[in-house]
Amino acid sequence: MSAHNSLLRHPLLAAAIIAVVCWSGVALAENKQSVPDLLDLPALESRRAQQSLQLAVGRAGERLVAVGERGIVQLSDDGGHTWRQAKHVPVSVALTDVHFVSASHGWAVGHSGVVLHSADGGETWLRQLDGNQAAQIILKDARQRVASGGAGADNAVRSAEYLVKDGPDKPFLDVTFQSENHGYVVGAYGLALETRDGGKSWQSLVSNIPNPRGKHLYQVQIKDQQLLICGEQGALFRSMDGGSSFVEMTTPYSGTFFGALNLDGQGLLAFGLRGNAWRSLDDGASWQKAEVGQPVTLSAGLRLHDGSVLLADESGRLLRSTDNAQSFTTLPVQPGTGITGIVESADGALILSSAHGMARIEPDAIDLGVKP
Amino acid sequence: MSYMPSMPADAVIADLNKFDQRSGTIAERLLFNNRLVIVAICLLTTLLLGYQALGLSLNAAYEKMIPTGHPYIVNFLENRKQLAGMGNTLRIAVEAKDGNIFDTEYLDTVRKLSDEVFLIPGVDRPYMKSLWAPAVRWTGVTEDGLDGGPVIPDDYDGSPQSIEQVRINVERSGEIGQLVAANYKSSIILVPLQEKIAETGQRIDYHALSQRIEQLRAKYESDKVAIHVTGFAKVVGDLIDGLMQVLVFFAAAIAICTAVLFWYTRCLRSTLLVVLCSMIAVVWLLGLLPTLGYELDPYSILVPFLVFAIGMSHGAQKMNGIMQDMGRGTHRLVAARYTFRRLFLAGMTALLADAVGFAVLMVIDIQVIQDLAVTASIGVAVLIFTNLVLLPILLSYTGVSPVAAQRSLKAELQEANDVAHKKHPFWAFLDLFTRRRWATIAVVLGLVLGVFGLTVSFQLKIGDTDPGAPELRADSRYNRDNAFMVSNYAASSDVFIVMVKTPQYACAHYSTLRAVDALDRELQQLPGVETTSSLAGLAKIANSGMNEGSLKWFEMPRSQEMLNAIITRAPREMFNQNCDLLTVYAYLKDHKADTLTSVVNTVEAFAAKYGTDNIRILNAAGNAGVEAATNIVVKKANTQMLFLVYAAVIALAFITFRSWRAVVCAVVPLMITSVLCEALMVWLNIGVKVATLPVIALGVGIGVDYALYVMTVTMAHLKVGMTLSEAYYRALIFTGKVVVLTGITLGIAVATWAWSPIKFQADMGILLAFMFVWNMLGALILLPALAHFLFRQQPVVARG
Repeated sequence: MSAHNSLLRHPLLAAAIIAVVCWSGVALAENKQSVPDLLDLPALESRRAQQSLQLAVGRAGERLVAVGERGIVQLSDDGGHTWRQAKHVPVSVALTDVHFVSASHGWAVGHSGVVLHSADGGETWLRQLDGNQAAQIILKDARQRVASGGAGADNAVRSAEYLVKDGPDKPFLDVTFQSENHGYVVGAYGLALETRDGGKSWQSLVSNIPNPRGKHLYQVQIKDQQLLICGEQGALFRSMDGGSSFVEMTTPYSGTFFGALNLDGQGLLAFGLRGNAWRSLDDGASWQKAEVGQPVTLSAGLRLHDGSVLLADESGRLLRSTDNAQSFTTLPVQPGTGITGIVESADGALILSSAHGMARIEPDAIDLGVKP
Repeated sequence: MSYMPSMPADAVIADLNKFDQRSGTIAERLLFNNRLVIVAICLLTTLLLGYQALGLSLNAAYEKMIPTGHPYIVNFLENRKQLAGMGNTLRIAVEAKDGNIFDTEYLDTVRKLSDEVFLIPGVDRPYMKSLWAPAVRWTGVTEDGLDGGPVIPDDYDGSPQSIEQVRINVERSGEIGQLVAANYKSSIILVPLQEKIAETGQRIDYHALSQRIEQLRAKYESDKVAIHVTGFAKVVGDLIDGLMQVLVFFAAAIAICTAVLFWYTRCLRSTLLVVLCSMIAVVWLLGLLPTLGYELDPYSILVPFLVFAIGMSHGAQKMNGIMQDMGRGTHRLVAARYTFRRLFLAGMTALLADAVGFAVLMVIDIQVIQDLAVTASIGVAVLIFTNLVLLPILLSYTGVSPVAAQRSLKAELQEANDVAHKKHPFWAFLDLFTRRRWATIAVVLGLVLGVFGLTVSFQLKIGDTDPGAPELRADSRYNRDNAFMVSNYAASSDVFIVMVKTPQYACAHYSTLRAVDALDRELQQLPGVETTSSLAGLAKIANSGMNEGSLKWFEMPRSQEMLNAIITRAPREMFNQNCDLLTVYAYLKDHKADTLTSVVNTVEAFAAKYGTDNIRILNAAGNAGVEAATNIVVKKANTQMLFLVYAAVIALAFITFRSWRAVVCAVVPLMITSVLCEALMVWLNIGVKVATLPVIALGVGIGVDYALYVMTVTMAHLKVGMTLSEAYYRALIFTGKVVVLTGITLGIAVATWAWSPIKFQADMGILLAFMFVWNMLGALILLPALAHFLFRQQPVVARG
């Protein structure tokens, strides 16, 4: 009788479900474990990768590579129209910056003192360094300096010991490479490291930078042998010898600089908190404030191929200057709030990383913005 | 079972003096020899209970509608005090129709409204939020660190500068999409409610609360301001409003049933008596409920309809019996006593059978359903007194109209003598189903329908399928308000809360938050989850905030000092005072069963994998969490209940018939109807939910009556050697009319609910009407057809 089936199907189903649940309960109980550390947890292929917070974007040849929260790395081979997730990222920490020196070789840095390397254009990544190792390197360097009798080395050892004790709790905030071998990373509480062998080994730059209070270092720029690092409380450190020694430049602002750009000639533009963008044309001897309209934090900047200067603020405004950063005009685009990084794609579009994912701004939209 | 298998031919006694007052059972003598006393007692009882009924209240407490025994709900109830009333919150959106919220007049309205709402009893005031609440703050980054304050500044004076300040504060408050719509055209007053009013310890009267809200709505709504209200309490308030309208349907049901009965008997006085007794049953029921500490809720309000309709059909039988006896010339008192003799036991058995259907509902661990079962049982018990005792006694005074009595007798004689089946095409038609050809057609058709229904019923959904409050109609004010909320605010109206228990003061440990973060990540992977929020997520935001708002810091700090600093500023809905409970919120796209199941399973799997004694991950709170648990219980209960109700019905049928063949004939049509009812639910997009659980139990419990009536008489006649056709025809003459009458009155009484503003009542009405009518048809068509195949080869020979 068909109607009997209506009675039978429920218990049969129920029994099957109960069996499966019991079985999986047993199976799972045997696998009881603690939640893996973010350093050991490969990034998940996320359903929400497209909408996730992206913190930086870079170029690997024609390819665009973006990095962001939860170890998510996204790649685009069509100029930022479509994105896909990288095949393998060995960590799930937030990645804060990415830099490629060629179509294949690039580095990404992030929280827990992570440095990742890719040799295949960002498809797969290997961990080269973590916060524990970084702290050990800095401690070792400080101890060597004590041995060689460097000034203030005792303090350096003490703070390096704290670094080790704290564990991998400090992020790297920026990475820049000059070549496949030579690069720099900087980060929170004055972290700064250099590699000359493509990330296989790292040397501490902490003691070279006059940063006794351990201000956060937000960005490192290279121009030939010249290194420029900006950070908290108006900090701007410059090295003319590839990082062996730094001097602190005098700046007119005591808030954080999140980035700095080299302008034409000896020009510099440092930008950061509450709409502060300061320009110096005389190597830092004198500074003028560039007018950006609103007191909103400037979070990213870029010099475009035509020499014009682009700044982005947290509210999602894009500002452009065609007069060497003297005056800025707001571009008539609305890419969304929380812009964190900008790069030019191969076809001249602007690619933005932001709190809501990636955005592409067509080249003609940019030109439109500066017409009178 | 209204007609006993073999009716003894009672002597016709026209003169009361010739009647032996001492004949009959003790009960009969006790009742009929003291008629006045009985009537007086009933009158007194009616007055007393009628007075009691005035104290009957309509309510629907939150806890009564949820399965309090389910582990998820146990978890929820254990922790609910710590959960900032998340289970039960009113949201009042104040919309600026033209312009935006940055307007003196608008802000003033919000202030006045929230001040008035603040005073409503039962509001959990410390957790109340609005633009004006001191707890609603902005934070900002300066060169010196963090700055912050209430969104509406302490020195607010309504000046353009103040308004501008409010705008800036709102923008940096993080409340956009939460308390303030992204288009700045509305803001929310969030009103958490207590389960019991703290001052008085009484339960919240949702109806009064809802009315108060409606008053405020009327007071503050204008051509500039619109007010939208959502939340469980408002749903219940609107439900109770809807219940008031149910009274209209009750009146309609009474009118229609009376008309049907009068058409059947053509005797006004006895028709009115039957209606009166059924009404008395309803009054007693309504009086007994408050006396026994029960209330009417949106579910149990349907019981009076059923009791009335059942009363009508039983009353009709009594009336019928007395009418036939009087038609033969028996005195009305004797006729009443004869009828009582014949039918009291049968009627009681039938009512007990109904009660079995209701009693089965007691196994469901949801109090409204249990209350429904109790209410219905009381109603049926009351009917034994009013319609099996009081009605015959009253009829013994009034008698029936002689014309109607003659008419009844004439019809009976005609039908009984008409063995050739010529004069009654309807009965003759039904009789065809005892013959091979029609029986085959009926059985094949039944089989086809059964298979079809079964196939369709596999798509039967669990839980609610419509957006918003499915209790109410899609175009109701409430659901329009809900649509406004969903389209203007980020947080969906379907919130699933996972509770994470830790040792005291360990809620902000990095290891705890790591687990919560991992859970967040898994939940975010689900297609049904729009977004999540938890202390882990908050720690990321706060870490960024403590580093000058730089998004590069959007990660959970590993440093415990940092986490401790964050938790001191964290909003209280994320963790409790003792710091041993964290709440993880998942905002869902909808509350469809699949969505809820995916969340439940994800959390369970995560808990199984990573849960420890120090980090216990528990389902589930929030409306979606409660609904998930309810779905689980309802799904289980649906199966369980089908089993029990059929086990009970089969047992009852077996006891009555002592023949498995007869049991098959009686039960199979019911099963096909049950399956078709599920198919109908699929077709009408009605999911299995609290409201539909009672339908099948009631439908089957009452529906089996028909089969019992028909089968009993048929079997009796088969036993004396008649053919199936003859036996069935006799059964039709004795009971056919009553079966049809019962089916129609019950069907009509419940079908009136289809016009209820309450969606689930309409659903129940449609489904129950379907079941009552199809069960009737099953008993009249499929039963003889099955009997044809089961009894044909083995005619039952009279034993002894």
